[in-house]
Amino acid sequence: MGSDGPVWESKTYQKKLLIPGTNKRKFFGVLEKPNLPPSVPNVTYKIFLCGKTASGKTWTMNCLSGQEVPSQHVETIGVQCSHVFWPMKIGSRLILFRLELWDAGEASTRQYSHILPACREGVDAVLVCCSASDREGWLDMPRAVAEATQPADRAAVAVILTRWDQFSKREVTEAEVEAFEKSRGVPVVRLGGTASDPAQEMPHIAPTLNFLCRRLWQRDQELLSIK
Amino acid sequence: MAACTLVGLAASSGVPLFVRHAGPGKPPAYALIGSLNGVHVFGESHGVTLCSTRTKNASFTWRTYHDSIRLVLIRGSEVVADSCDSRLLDLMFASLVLLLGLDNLTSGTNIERLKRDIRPSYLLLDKLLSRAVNSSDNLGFSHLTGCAECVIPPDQHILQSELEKYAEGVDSSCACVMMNGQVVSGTRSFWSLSHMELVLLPLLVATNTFTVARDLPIYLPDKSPNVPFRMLVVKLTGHVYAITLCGPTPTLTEIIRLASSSWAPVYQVLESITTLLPWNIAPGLLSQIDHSVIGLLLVNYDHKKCVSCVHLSEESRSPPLNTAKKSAALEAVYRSVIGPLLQPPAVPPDDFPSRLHPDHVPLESYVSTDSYKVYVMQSSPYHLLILYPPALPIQIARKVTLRTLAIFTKGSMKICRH
Repeated sequence: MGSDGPVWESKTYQKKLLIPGTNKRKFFGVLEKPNLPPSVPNVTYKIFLCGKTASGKTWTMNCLSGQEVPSQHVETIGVQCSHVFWPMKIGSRLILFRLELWDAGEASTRQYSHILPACREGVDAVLVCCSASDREGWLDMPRAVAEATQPADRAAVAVILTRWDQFSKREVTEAEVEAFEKSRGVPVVRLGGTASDPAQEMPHIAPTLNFLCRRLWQRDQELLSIK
Repeated sequence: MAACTLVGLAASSGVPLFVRHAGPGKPPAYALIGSLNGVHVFGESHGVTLCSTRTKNASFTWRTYHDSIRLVLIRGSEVVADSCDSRLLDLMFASLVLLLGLDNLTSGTNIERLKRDIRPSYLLLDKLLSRAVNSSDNLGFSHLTGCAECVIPPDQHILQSELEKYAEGVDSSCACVMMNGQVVSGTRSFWSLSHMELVLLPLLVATNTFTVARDLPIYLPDKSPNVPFRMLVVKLTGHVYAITLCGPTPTLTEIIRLASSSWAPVYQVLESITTLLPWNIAPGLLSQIDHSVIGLLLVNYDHKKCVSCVHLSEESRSPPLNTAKKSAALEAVYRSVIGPLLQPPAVPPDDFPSRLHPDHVPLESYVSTDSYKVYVMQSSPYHLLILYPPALPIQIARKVTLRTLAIFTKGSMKICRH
């Protein structure tokens, strides 16, 4: 991350995501955004979280947006969309990323035909979620990744392995993940657990957000150069 | 805090569909659930419908819906099962209909599939259960009153006209603005929803606060139990949401865009509503309320609205009650007085007139305990419950209650205005 200029500057701005005087993240409505200098450019990306039931899609969404994670699994109803703001330095420029995370419940997707197209429309990246305790899900991953995007989308793809912290239940080995990354060229993000100290919530998730934003930025550059 | 458990069974086969539990302790064992259903079936085979019963440490309520789903509510000892419990079960069944549709729910030929389909409803069922056990993070009275929980904003006109413009723009007649699960403003068609729908829709919106937009396929339990609608929820600011009931269009992306453009000019108005938290009542009205009032609940049954406030400070010498205790006190009095004694004007309980002399209709009542006094007043279509410190003489409590009712019902800022 050292190549991206002074990290501390991004960090100062990342404090703007918090409710002043606390370590909790602020809730932003669609009319709001973090209080950054107007000169900072904003970029918006749509990210679709897909994966089997209980693979941790909503969990990932909560984790990235810094919300409390519900202790029990409850199936998502319909489509939900969450905005994650992330100020970050790319090169020497500070950019405010707005990641629009889209997630749909399995039952609703099956029952209603408008759900999936709504999530896929104009998507910039697809995150395929899979639980690290689900061996079958992992074995099925090459197919899931292939089906995740349509060539016309040119969407970036990454795999999110949730429950990575639960060592005793883990059904996927580190070596397998590395082999997968190498053979498929698809990055795998290992997520699991939440920071034990609420003050560490943002530093805990920062590497993942940095990674996603950088990936999306690179994709933009590639798409521009193709044109 | 008493424990509360809800059991859902397939009425014909007795197969348990789900068990939800709130409060301390564990949910009942499988065998016990079987016997609970067994007793009911035994009664049925003898031409008797078992409605409720009470043991040494729990009370039970049974209800069977459309001969297909049976719900059993098990409560800890503190509260006696009453008409409120069967209304709660009605709400719970309605929340199943809300997400599944009546036909899908009751024509269940495949039990395993039904079990799976019911799972998304757990959110709402749990919310209702935590209301039932009076959990402090989920206060409210809508499940008791059958009316939508509201706030009274200082100036409703701007918001109302913006809402109507927005609803028109997204081609929907049924729209409302909500803050923290309470309705701030609604269109005419929104207020024509049934009591149960007005209780459940805000609860469903409040189940999820971290997302900025949601597209929820729902059925309306009374108005449209078999044809689904899309409930589109957009978070405008940290606490304020715009909700519309739509058909196939617009898409969620479009509605986010439309909401951003149409509400941006009134951002300041939306922000100013947030200052009503946690009192729910406009400062102009709040300042007129007597200092002896430490909590209140006002219900307008005609307009299906209720407003509550448990954040009023008390200056008496008695030990102060916290908000959860105030809520619990108001709830306990509501359960014991309204229904058995005072008749809710819009929803008369089935058993009402039989117990009282027809010429003698009570209009006021009070409950006095060591830690609080509650004065209850009925003035059609209102019910007003006011919580006072225990030391306040009852005749003063009565006078203050009368005056408070006048503050809310007369003048320019009536709760009844749409």
